[in-house]
Amino acid sequence: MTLAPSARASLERLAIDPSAADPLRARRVFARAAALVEWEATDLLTLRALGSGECHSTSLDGRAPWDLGQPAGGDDGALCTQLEPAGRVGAQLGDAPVALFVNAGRYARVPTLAELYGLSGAVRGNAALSSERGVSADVGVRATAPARSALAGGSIDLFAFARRADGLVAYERSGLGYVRPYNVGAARVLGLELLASYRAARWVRAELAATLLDPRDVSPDRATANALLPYQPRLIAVPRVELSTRAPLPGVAEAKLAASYFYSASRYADAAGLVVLPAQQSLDVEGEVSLLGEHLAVRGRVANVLDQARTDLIGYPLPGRAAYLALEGRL
Amino acid sequence: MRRLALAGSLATLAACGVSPVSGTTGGAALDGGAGGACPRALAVVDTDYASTNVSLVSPDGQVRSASLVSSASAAPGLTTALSGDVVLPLARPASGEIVLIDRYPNAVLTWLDPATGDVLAQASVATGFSSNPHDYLEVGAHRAYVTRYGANPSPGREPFDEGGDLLVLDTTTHAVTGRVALAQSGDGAYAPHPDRMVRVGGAAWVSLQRFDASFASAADARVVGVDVATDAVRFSLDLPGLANCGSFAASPSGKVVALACSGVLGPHVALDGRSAVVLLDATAEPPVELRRLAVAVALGAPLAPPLAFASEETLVGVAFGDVGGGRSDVAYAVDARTGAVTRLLDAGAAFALGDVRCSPGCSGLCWLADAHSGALRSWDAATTPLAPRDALVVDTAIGLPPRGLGEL
Repeated sequence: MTLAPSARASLERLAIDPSAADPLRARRVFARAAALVEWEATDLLTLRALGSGECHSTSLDGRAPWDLGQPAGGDDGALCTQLEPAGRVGAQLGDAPVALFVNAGRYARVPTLAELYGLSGAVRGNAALSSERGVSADVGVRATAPARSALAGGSIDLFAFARRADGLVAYERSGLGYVRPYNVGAARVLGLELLASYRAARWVRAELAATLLDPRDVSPDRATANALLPYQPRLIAVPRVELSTRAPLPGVAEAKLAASYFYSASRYADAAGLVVLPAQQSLDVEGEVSLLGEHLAVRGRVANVLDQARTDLIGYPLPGRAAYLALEGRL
Repeated sequence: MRRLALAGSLATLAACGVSPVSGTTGGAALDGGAGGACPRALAVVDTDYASTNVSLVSPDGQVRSASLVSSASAAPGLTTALSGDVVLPLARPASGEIVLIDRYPNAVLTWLDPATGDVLAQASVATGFSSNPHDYLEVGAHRAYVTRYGANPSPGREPFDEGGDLLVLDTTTHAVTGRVALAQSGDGAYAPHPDRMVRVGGAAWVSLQRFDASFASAADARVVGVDVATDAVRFSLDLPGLANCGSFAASPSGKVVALACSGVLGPHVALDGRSAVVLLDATAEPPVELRRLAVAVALGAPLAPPLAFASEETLVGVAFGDVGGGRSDVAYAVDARTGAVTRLLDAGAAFALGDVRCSPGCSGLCWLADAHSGALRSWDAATTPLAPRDALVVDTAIGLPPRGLGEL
């Protein structure tokens, strides 16, 4: 049995200077203590348990949360105003080449400063947001093909998960042309995640990452016929092929060429399901050549090679095909 | 096998996409002709301020179309999808058409045929800025006024782009043909923000909210009368001690016009002493103030704009709740002669109650949009006190809550 304690602390600051309103200064102090216990019960079975406590304190008006005094906004005056416990237990059966995983836990997510107070003119905040709390469970398999098998070079991670959350932080488009987070009374998310890779030869590797999602508002008081949560595509798939070779030419240490395709299914922009943001897809190609014993790298990328129409969160069109070139020197 | 895999992949892609929740139930044939003495139907705007649906209800409370048009609609002629800030005209359009006022930021009017649900026309009244149109009043066979609440900070770039005015529309071509300026010398920092309109004889009465640029303070409310034949301002009447007046209500006889004033609403939507219902003598020009009804004081809450006459003696309206203070919206009835106030409904939430429409002498009902319950509330206006009826859910297709009402 092993015990692995850990601790982390961070300070987050947000400054917003709108042109037609008072500036906003917010700070968040975050501290987390956790302990992971791992027990190899048998040669095949490993059990894990993780417990953690998170402490969040937020202040406004530029003052640090630990500055005691007259409150002026947020949670001023207290060092730990929100304590969120979380825990997770899991089991792993087997190891390479095939391992099965089962996990379950309780989680909490405090809204970020950007979710509370905004990020930009297009992504506004909602100071009334409350924390998201829920339980989750997942089951998965990780498999690697044996070296001498027909599928040698292949591996796969496949996980199914379910999450039930109260106060899930979701986004919705406002009629005024920006998106804003809100708490979904009760949400249920089912999903499937896949990461597969296959190295057909030493110089070629193919990958596929995909997420299937079924995110639904299951609040008892939901009145809309639509239950799908806005801004959550039900499918994201990213296939990628990479070709690489070492020393293909004199003076060239390594050359790589990769093509990836991004596909995100269409999604709703509103809770009622009346406004649809179309599917987003683009083909990106990138290449890299390392020269002078890898002291110099030339990288090029062409984004959205097919010049496919894409839109931002609001629905405004994004730039089309674009090319980038970078030069990096290393001593 | 490969074909099967490809077909499966394509099916997965197709199944994972979404399409708008349709729910469009088309138009509905309405009894009687347009412009009759009584409304033929109620148009209901259902919205969560992100998207909008429009329903049709008969005057006696039968849902005729749960979804005539919505933010999901892409009907021919509809170039701008409906936003989440859509209202209906205060006055019943004599043309019989449904006119949707998509206020901010779209600044677009949409004309619909209630019988078919077809979009007849769509016109922008933005003239280069988000002009925030607040009302539409047909003043002739081919003419209409549109109040534009917003003022253009950089005017002079295209015709009629000043804002804070009445636009004159040709309802045949749906083109802007003129503008009635409503600013006056002496306005100072308090620019006119024209809100709702009511037709009184040969004049269109316009309520002007007069805020400073920050909307933190306001000058006395003002009512302006515009001659519908000449587009000239015929009178201007200030209402000392009142501010932020919005919706008019004409009594069944037409002799009295009531106006609900909210006062300046601070962050806690509190009373500031400038909220009341004011009764104006519509037989005089300029109108003479008959009485102020201290409804806001009686309810302890500032009044919301919606207001309607249930009878010659009784008005029905709404008072604002306060989210932070835990106060709910309240629907009230007030006796126009005595000022006695009766609470009709506690909404159970703030910013939940919307428009009020009454049809004394016709259906004899008063209707109130209640977004918190997701239904229309109604009362029998012929009884004293007003007798409540069963709530009516109108948007059974999409499920958006009702907030706006208009008569056809």
